[in-house]
Order: sequence, then structure tokens, then C-alpha cells
Amino acid sequence: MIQYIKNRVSPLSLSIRDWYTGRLPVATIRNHLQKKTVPRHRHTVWYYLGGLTVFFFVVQLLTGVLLMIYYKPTIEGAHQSVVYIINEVPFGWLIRSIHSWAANLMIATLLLHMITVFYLQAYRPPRELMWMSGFILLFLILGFGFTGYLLPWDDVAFYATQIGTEVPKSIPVIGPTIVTLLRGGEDIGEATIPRMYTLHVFVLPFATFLLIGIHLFLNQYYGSSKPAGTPTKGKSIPFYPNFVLRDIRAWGIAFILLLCVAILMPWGLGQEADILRPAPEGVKPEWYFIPMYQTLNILPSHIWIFDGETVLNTMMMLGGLIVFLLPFLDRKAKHEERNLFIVSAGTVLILYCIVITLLSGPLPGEDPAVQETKIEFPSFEYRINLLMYFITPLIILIFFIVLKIRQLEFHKGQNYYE
Amino acid sequence: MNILIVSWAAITSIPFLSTVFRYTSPPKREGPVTEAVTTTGEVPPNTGKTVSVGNKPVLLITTPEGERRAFLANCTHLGCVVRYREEENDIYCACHHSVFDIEGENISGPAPRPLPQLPIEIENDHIVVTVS
Repeated sequence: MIQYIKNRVSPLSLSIRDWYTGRLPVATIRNHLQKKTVPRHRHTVWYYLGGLTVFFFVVQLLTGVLLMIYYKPTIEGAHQSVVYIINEVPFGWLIRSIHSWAANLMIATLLLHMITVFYLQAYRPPRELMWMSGFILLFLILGFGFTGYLLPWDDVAFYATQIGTEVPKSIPVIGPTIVTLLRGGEDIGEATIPRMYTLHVFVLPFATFLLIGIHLFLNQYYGSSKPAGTPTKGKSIPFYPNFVLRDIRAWGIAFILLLCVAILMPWGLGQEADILRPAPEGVKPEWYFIPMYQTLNILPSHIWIFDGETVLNTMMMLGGLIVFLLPFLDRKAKHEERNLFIVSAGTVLILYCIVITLLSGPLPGEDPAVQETKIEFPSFEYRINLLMYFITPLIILIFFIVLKIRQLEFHKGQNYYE
Repeated sequence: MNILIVSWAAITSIPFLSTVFRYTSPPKREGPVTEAVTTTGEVPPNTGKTVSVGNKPVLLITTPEGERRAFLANCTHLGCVVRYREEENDIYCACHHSVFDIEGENISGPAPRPLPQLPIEIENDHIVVTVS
């Protein structure tokens, strides 16, 4: 039967294949991908984090386009349109929940990716530009979080944007201009939403696409970095099809996790922002901005002759510059040696961010002080059924991919599992 | 020659970039805004009320002694809207816990400057505030 189908389909599929292989450099690309290998060692698992970040970015693009259909970027329409998406549009609550959760997971995987690259010293020559492009990507992705935050126009969004756009004000000379450009005036109001919307749906995606392209090109060109001093385990894994299939398996698992949290813990919405309402007690930004927010809380109003904000801005800019130029500052890295000072400084910074975030109390959604807009999510039973409806075929698909990987690797005697 | 072309291309881009910059910079508001915001009865002694004047939040307070004051309601730390606390008889910002006295002076917390006080007048039982 299979042979019969093959015989029937082959002439057509062959002619189509001949047509596109004659017009696209398919063979060249395939040859390159087949020659490329991924080192196999005890840290190989961290290689999936970059791919996972790209996966969540794609999810953001798709769900973002769907949200754009109904969202209204005006001060009168923003909050109401989000309420409409959640309460009225079929599966609107789901699309918005996936968009919000995927944003958080994207930032989490990106931060973890950056931390592992730091500890594995993957920034050492010749991959300096990969580190630098990745660092700029981190800022762009945080920019997505920041600009997207205001769009639902709820209380927490308003105050996070108020504080976030106030911080650059203390930068000498250009600070006030940056604030005015971001807000569309001296204060957050009618002009701010369209600006944040334009940045969120056009400027940042365009810049991110460009940089992801450069980052992935460099990754393909130089291959994955093997950590210095880590012994490899046997043969390297061929990138295509073996590692690509493993990547797809990781994306499938990530998608299941995303669906679980988005369906079982749907993203809420605060009450509509009112520029006259005093800041509610306990208001705080999303977790990835809490270290900066809490540091502003700790710093005194004046340090010597400078404002606390000016000191923090200067510290952050200097710190950012140091991290950006890390491949050039870690002179031991090119000799494949560990720089204890840099590792310790990085560890202290990471621990500081974790501790200060944990000490800051409940997240905005969990804080009883922050009022929520009344939303009627579908019943728990319905959501469980919906989850099963989505993830059952996904689990089977992942099972097939795992079988395919096993078949490839055992069939050819390339057992990478031992 | 290549350097010349690249440099000249950069110079050529300046008028276009400056036009984009001018376009994205919002027009400046002209002159002070004076508005009758509420009646005196709406802000009895030892209370505060936030109103909008020219799209800016303004905190009106009436002290326990009956004196009326108006401040720009944005905290001088990071711009959150402050509120009057009747029990403490002070002005408080919930974002980073800055406290100002009823003269607008910053007395604790990270706020670096006093709240800007605004001219206030009473006309026919209406509170009139000017934001410059």
C-alpha cells in the first residue's frame, strides 16, 4: 500500500522538488546543517534555552497579531477593548492569557540563557558579537515587556509606566527629552498609548527580527560553544536532523507548559487606570523590573550631592556597559581560563536580583491591595477539558518525535543517550 | 572613496533624522492653565482631593486649621500620584513610601525635593488653581 502511494505521488513530488531545488540553495543549506554538530557534554541541556526564547517570541508574534484585531490604542478604548477581548471574543481570554504568560516565559528563558552563557563563558573569542547582539536583544525583549505593559491601561500598568518613564529623567541633558518622546508629552496620558503601541507592534519587532537574524547567523557560522574545561561525551550530535528534532521536542514541552499555565491560571486585568487616583498601596511592576524598582526604594533621596535616581541611572548605565563589553574585559576567557573576579561579581549581582525580588512580597496579580476588573473566565471544568483538547495531540506528536530521534540515532548506531 | 560615500550618507541622513525627531516630539503646551476645579465645600478641613488641571493631577488639601493649599500631585521621586492622609496629617506616596508635610516639604523616604506648590484662589466659592 505504502509503495503504491509512493509510486503514485513520486512523479509530482519529484517535479516540485526539482523546481524549488533549482531555484533555492536548498542543497547548500542542507549540506551546511548536516555538517554542523552540537557538542555533547554535561551542559548540553542549556543549549535549548536560546531556541526556547525564539519559540516564545514566535508565540508572541502570532498571539500579538490576533490581539491587534480587537485592541484599540486610545485612552478611552484601551481598557475596554481588553475587557471585550477577555469577556466577549471567543477564546479571547485564552489568546490574551497565552500572550501574557509567553511574554514572562520568554523573558525567563532569555535571562536563563544569558546566565548560562555567562557561566559557560560562551562569549569568549570568536563569539564576542553573539554576546553583544544577545545583550541588545535582552534590552529589546525587556522593551517589549515595558511597552506592552501599558497597553491594557490598568492601574498597575499606569504606575509601572509612570515610574519606568520617570527614571530616565535624571540622565543629564537628554533625560527630559527621552521622557517626553516616550510619553508624548510631560505626563502619561492620551498621547502615551499610541506611542507605546507603535513601539510594541512595529519598531521593537522590526529591530528584534534584525538582531535575531544576526544572532542566529553567527550561531550557525561559529556553532555552539563548548564550555572550557568540560570533557565531551563521545561524538557530537549532528545539528540536522538530530538536534533540530530535539529542539522541536523542547518546544513541544514548552508549549504544553505554556498552555497549562495560560488555561489554568488565566491572566487577570487590573481596574482601569485613572491619572488622578493616588498610587495604591503595594503597587509594583512585573517581576523582571522589581530589582530596579526595589533598589530605587532602598536608595536615599540624596547620595553626596546627587539625587538617588541619578546615582542609580549612572550605576545601571555603567553596569550595562560592563556587561556589554564583558568578552573584552574577561581577558582570561580567550585562554579558556575562569576569571574568578568576574564569576563572583556576576554571581553577587544575580543573587542580589533574586533576593530583592523574593523580599518584595507578592506579585501584582497576587496582591489583594491591587484591585482587579471583574472578569468571567470559563469554569474550571471547561478549562480542564480545553487543556486536554489541546495537549493530547501535542503529547502524541512529541512521542512521535522522540521515536524519530531514537530511530535515527539507534538505527545509525549513534546512541547519544548513554 | 568608500569612506567619503559612507560619511556623506551619514551627513545626508541628518536632515531626515532631525525631521523624524521633530515629528515625534509633541508640541509644547502654551502658557499657564487656570481652572476652577471644585467648590470649597468639596474639600472640608483635614481632607484632600485630587483634581485635574491641564491634564496634570493636582492635590488640593484643606488643613485642620482650614488653610487651603494646592500641590502638583506627582511625587518628586518617580512621579506617582500622592494622597493626603487624614490621620497623619501629611502627604504620602505609596510607590516608595515618601512622606511630605502639609507645606509640601519632603520629610522622609526617597523623594529628593518638596512638592511644587501651586497658586490657589477662591472665586465665588470655587477653588481656582493655576498650573504653569
